[in-house]
Amino acid sequence: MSIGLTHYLLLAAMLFAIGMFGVLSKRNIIAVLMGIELMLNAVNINLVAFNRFMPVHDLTGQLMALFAIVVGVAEVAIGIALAFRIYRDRNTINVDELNRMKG
Amino acid sequence: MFNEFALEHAWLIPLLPAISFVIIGMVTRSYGKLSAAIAVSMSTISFLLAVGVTLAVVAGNITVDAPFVQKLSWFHIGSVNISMGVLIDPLTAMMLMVVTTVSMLVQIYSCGYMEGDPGYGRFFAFLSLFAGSMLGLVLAVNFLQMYFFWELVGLCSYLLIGFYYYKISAREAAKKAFMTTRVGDFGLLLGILLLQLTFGTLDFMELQQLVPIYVMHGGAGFLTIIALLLFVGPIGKSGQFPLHVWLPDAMEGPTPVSALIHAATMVVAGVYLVGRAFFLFSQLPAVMTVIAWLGGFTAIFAASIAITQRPIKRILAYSTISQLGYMMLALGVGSLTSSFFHLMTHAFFKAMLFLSAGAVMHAMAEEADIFKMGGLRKKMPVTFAAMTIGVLAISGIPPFAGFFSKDEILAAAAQVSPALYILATITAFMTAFYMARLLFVAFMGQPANQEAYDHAHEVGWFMRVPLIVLSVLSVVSGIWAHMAGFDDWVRFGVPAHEGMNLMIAGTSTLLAVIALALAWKVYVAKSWNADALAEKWGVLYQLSFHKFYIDEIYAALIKFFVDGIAKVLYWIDVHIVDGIVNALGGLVRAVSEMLSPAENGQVQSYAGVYLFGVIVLLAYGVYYASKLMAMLGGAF
Amino acid sequence: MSELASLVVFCLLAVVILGTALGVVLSNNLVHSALLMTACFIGVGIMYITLEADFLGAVEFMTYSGGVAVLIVMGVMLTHKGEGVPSNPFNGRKIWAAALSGTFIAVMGLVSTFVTSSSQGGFVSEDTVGDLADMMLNSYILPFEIAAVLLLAALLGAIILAKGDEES
Repeated sequence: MSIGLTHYLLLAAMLFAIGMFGVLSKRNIIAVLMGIELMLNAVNINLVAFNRFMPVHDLTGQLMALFAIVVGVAEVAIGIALAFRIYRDRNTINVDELNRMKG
Repeated sequence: MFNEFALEHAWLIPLLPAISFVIIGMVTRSYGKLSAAIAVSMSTISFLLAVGVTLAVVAGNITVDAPFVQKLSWFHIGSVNISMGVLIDPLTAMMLMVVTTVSMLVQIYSCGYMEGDPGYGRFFAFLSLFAGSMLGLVLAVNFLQMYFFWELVGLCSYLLIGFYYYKISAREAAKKAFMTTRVGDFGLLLGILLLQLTFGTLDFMELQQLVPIYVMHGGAGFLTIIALLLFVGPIGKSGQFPLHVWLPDAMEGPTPVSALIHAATMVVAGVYLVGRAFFLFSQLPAVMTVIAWLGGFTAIFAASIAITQRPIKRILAYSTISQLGYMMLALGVGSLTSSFFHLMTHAFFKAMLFLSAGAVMHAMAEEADIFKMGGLRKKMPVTFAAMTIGVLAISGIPPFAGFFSKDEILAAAAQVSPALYILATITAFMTAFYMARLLFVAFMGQPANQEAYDHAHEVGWFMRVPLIVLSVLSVVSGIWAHMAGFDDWVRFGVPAHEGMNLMIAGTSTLLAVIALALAWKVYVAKSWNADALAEKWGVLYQLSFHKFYIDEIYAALIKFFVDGIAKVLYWIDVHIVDGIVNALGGLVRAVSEMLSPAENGQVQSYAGVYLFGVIVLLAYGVYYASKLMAMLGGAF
Repeated sequence: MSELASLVVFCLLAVVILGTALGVVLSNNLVHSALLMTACFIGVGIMYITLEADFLGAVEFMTYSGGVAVLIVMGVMLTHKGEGVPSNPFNGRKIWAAALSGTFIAVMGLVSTFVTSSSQGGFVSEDTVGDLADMMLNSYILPFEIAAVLLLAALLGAIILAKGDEES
């Protein structure tokens, strides 16, 4: 059995699901950020795998993954800064306590 | 020259007062004297034009059979064309004369009467609009135009009766007048709509051609209903029983308004409508009988109330109702001529009586009860003279105006129905009695209130001149019109040339004199004690004094029905309408209470819900793709 | 690479990536999570290389395993609440989250049955750096510039957020 697109996609889906689980179930805002990073990487794996196995004629998939990495990094920077700021202002990074949106 | 001009420009007659209303209402309202000057000058021009029109009608070939018509298209709805314009025949000309004369004189009188009132300008604005509306009504070429102005007249009466809007009684009276006449207007409107449906036109001249043909071919059945509905309008407007109740209350307005309403404008609109549509009514004997008997009943009914009333204006109000009943009676027996003759003479002497009453009340610091006056003869000779002439005129003593018109009515009634004749004669007798009572109690004898008496004074020239003019008219208009051939002029169909029926004239005159003498005996010579008489006729006196409890009966009926319906509606409102609304509200509330825990402010749970949605969509996509694949046979 | 070798490599990488990722989300200690995440990213980077994307693998090592991990460790340290408190606890929705994730994997598994699994095809570049640079500076110059602006904005935003208001 040779390794093909399906295997990579399944792997990416699992990684995505794990990240999603983290995002939904962790209390610490930094852990949530980590979950998001995992999900982003899962998507990138998809992109690269498609580029490798689908009939295309250039490196668009990899380029796309590159841009996604750039955006992901920017997002992490902002996310950490936000977490830091929230911690300073409210002395907590527990997402459960950050419920000012409660209607 | 002027006559021709007036005839061609007859539309100016109602327009000028309307313009004066606009000017006063929008610009000069706060300048009382200026407003009065505008109103009076406009109505004077109107009066002159009306004179011109009348002369043109007399001189020209304009008769009731060949009227002068000017029309402009007003609007089209589908196949319905409605015009607006002027229709001038002797009937119109006479009405124009009466309305412009009386309204002009009333406006002049008001200059003095309303002196110092804060609503001086407003008053003249309303008076102008009132006169303009009535003149428009008189000139109407079709029922719709007439209805339009008819409603305007109703509106103006509302405004003027409620002129002292800060008085609760005035507000109530204004509402009562408006709503009572509205009952009649509703019938009138229904009648007009049915006319349009039946004939496809509302134009008087066209209907005049169509109605006899219709009656000849189709009989009178349906037309009788239409005519009765139309007649409901005049019942309300002209204060016929049982919709007369607003008229006595209309006294809450300033006295000049009473004069205008009772003499020239509002109430005669009903009589005029019946006269204008006489081609319709005269074809329907059943309706004519109803009109005649209703008029006769109203006449004697109102007269029997007037006998016991004490406020001066209320006596005059019931006398107006009674006289309007007379006019309706005359129309009902088919004598358009005598009805309009009486309308004219009545307009003059009733306007004068009201203006005199206003003068008296003005002098007596708004005291209305005649038994608190007394002896005013010496203090107010001009008013006394005017009042005397008015009383003699309305009582039908020759040669005053009322004698001629009343006798024509009596003669016409006698020809049709002896019962109506007797009814009318008794009414004439009662009329003479209560008018004499008013005159004697207020002006003869000793002052009942010395302080007010000392204060009393003759009125100023603004008020005196109209009184004098109207007195002259009250004396001469009857005999002059009688001599000048009013019968030929204002008529329906062939003129009824009748010499004076000496028998009838003699009887009524004799009765009037007896009534006057009786009143003298009771109220001046005091041979009989009035209170003892009242005691003796206890039940009747109470009935009359309380106006046969009509108002109370209406109040009870309205209370019963309105309260009953209101209770039912209240129940429906509380239990069904509110129930539905509350149920809806409760449903929304319950649903939102179910959903509100979802709104917990936890970003992660929001994200969870969102992702759940994504997964559901994804699952649906999978399902759809599998179906698609099954359809395409596996190739993907 | 032979098929067997690639299978073995893939399986190994899959075990590493998924295992470390599970460690990230299941660990109760935030520092452990951060370290495991770095390991996970290294696995992903190696996987890129096996997918003939050597430049992307290098980028992954540098940005994620390097930059992002350091950033996150710094964040962990800056917001540390002290010993004795579990630094990375679960909230009350653990079961729901697990169910959702499981459902997601199931659905995606269904999706993958539609995809014909090809182990060949695609575009293999001899010089990924050169080709990517060529594309980035020709056809995709605009997104490239926008990415630069985005990074600048993120930089400024992060500084402003972290620095806080001027004390007056």
